[in-house]
Amino acid sequence: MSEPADPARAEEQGEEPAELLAGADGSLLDLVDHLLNQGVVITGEVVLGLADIDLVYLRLSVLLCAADRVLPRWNEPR
Amino acid sequence: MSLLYLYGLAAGDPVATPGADPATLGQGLAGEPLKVVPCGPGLFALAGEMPARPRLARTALAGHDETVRRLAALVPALLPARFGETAPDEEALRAGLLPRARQLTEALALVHGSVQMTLRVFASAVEDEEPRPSGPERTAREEDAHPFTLSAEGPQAASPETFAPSPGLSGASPAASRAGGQGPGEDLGGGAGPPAPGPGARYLAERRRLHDERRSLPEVAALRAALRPLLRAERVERHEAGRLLATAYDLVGRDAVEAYRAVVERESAHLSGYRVAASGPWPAYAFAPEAVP
Repeated sequence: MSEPADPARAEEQGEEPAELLAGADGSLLDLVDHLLNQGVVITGEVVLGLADIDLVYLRLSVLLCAADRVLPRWNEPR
Repeated sequence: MSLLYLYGLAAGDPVATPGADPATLGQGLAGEPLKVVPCGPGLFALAGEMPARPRLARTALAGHDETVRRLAALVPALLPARFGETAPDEEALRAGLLPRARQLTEALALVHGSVQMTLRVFASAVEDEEPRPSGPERTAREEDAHPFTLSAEGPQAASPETFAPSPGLSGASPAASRAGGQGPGEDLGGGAGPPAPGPGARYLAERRRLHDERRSLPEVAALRAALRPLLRAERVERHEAGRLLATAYDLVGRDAVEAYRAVVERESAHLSGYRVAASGPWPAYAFAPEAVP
């Protein structure tokens, strides 16, 4: 996807999955997991496009594995 | 031309449901006014009209979640929709949901007055970067036929086990049933003690073992035991590789969130070799029937 000339239009055009999850913190990872992997579907069709969904899931699985770096550690003193 | 964008499903008669007044629903992620769409007896959808499906973006995800959270606070029970779910019109929306009305209604009864906490379990050891043996081949839909189980172990099971066999559960296939130790040739008789389990019974026992294994979290057994009195339902997903071992999606009462956090903080101090991260409360995303992968 080409870089939008106007940054304000970036959101309108959507983000590449890699961009979406680049530098993701724990809250975004949870958001992606819950909103793209869970929830009620109407017909079960992949509505976001196969390429986008597959890339998001692939990236998400990698990032969730590394999420201990960004998610709060409950068994460490805060 | 516009689309209906789905935010969630709620139970009951919208006319009689406090909070379901369109005047109080507010706006959706694109600033569109929200509306109630009756979807049959005891079921209605909360949706907005948009010119096009929103693109995948952080702000869109955040806007969807914010809208779902606001709606969840207005009604006694809400099943959140997955991001990006649209229908051409109300009729198409109803047509898409009606075949699953029973399951959706049951799921709404389950999440009534509840929120979701998400607990992630990580290994501390570096060697867990390698893919873990996955065991026998599994088929996701079959193995997840009973997604929201709470085992009866322990004296304080929070709620009865809920089993909802899916249509795809092959353990219920006629072949398996016929071979369940009662077919021709399987009855040893002759006073030799109980007959050995036949191939069908062994097959079902193995499936049950795999089912229980995939929902087990022995790594944090003490923590889970401490959380059990707070849980109304739970879904556990184990992960195949990396430090993230498993995720538990826990359904708790809206007034049990602080108690849940306190238990996690207290019990996680005793973990050795593992650590946990809990987030929430979330709307009950993981307890929609189709949330089962």
